[in-house]
Amino acid sequence: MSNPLDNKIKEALENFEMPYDAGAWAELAQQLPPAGTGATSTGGQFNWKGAAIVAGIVTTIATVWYLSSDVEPKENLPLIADQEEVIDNETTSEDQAVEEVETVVAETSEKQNVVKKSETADESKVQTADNSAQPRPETPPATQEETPPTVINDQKSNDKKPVTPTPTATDDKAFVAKFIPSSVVVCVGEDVSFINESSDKSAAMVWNFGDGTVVSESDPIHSYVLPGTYTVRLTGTKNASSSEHSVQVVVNPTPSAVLSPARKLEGYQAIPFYKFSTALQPSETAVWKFSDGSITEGTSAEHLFRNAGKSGVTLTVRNNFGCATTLDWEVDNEKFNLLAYTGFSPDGNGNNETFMPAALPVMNVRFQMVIRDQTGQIVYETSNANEPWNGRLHNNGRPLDAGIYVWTVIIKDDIINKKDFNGTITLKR
Amino acid sequence: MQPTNQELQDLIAGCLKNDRRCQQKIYEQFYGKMLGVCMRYTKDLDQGKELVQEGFIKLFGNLHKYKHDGSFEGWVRRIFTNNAIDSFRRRKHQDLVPDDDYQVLNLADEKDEHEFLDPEEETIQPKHVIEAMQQLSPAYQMVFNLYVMESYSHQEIADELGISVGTSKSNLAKARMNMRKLLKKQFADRL
Repeated sequence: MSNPLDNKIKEALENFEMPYDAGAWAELAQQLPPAGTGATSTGGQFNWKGAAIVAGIVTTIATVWYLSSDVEPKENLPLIADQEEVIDNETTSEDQAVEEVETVVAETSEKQNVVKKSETADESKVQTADNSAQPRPETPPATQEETPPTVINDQKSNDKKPVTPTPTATDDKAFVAKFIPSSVVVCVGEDVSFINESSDKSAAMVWNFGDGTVVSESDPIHSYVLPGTYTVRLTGTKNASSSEHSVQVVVNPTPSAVLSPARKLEGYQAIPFYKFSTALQPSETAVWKFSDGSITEGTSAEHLFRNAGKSGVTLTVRNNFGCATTLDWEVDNEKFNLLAYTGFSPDGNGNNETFMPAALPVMNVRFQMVIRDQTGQIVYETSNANEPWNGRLHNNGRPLDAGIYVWTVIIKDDIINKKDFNGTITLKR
Repeated sequence: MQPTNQELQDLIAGCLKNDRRCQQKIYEQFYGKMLGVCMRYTKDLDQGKELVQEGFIKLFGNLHKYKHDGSFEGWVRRIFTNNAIDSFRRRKHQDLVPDDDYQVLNLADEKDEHEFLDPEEETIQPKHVIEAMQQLSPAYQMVFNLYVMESYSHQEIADELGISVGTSKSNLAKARMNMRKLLKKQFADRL
């Protein structure tokens, strides 16, 4: 990216931060799974105690708010601050939280000088909190965020017979099932996570993914094997209240890719020159990424592996839905330097008369070879594999002195990332 | 304050157990930055706040997928970017407004009287950039964000948004042009 405006804008926003908004957290916290449940748990380890206390506190707040709102609206402001503190403490120590509830209730009833009616309501609230501090694993967690004070009495009567809790009108508010998929357009094999945003996460959740899979987790993750449009249905049941929510998820096909490797030069095992091919549908594109960093596109690719050790290629076939399949291929090679000899003797005995890296005449690639003497002077140049150096200046001048010469070959074809090879050749006379 | 690596690991572990306190710490640490990110993908603060909340729900819901093998902030940012892309896709399906019909201030027709003001020569304030980006049409905004801010390639953008590479390129060019004009206009307005 070299556009100066882009750089300027990116720079301006590099460390940009918006101011923090404490209210936003309170809002989000309500949408998160209940505190104390593991993210991957299926809801079985729900923290009944904690939930009851939260419910108690929320009810207290709601009630105090509800009662005080008609009396003296102005006084409500400091109260909100108190409540937030309590909610904040709630996760650390339950006992402490209960105490806090009591204090707040006491304080507020004092502060507000609430009418008689509210005092009795407060009392019942404290009791609720006390009761909930005792483990009641068989009682469903109370969800009474906006429950009016009268319902508290029902709760109390429930408490007297905790063994067989009858699903009474504790939940005046009907359960509402809701979820958000991490994505509504996915690929075959891609994980979709479903974020459960139901009104009460302690409800019994049954997910039907529309492909014959049914699970009963809270926030499941699912992937599809076949393309298509699936209706994902969440059915939640809480006490007598049941609710459904469904969302369509489009699952796009993933390419079924093949990677066929072959030697480019049959019979030349010492030359690590390969050709690769795949089969593409008209809607698919292929990208070949080689271990040396070079990248090519298309149904086929050719590559020369020059480094010692493991190298290879990663093929990514992508269709027009953006779904991709990736295949890997690996090979273990020796270091490859064009199979160049280190010496030659142009003495007319028919042996090692000329110099040309042995791989070049068979590879059939475009290249440029330059040979220099030790002062850096060019003594021979060619781009023809059938014109080896004969030890004379530019092959037709004076015979050059014995000694060490340096050769450089630059491959012109796009078959390798680092395209220049070099070495020394000793000219013997 | 930035937590140390160990603190961060502990916070993440706590979040996986849905510990509110840990979640809140993570929230507090990333809220400002991520709202800053979300602002670039939306029209105004309200939309930005909506997107940031959605992003945090996804963040906490997917935290078990974090492999601890790279920058956590980078990972968080990807979640928010992907969320913005998802939201864009959803909106695209909903209102089906062809982007070319979306007129941004009729900028092309507006006379450029402030030629002497070159945004490249001035220091650009973050809030002005955000303001300008919020005035881009959704498709231009998305391509500009992904290409310039998130360093996606045109091919990657094309794949993510289901558009062609050519469309991505032309949207970027138009977005840049509009950004330049919007920033110039801001300078002029401030004079």
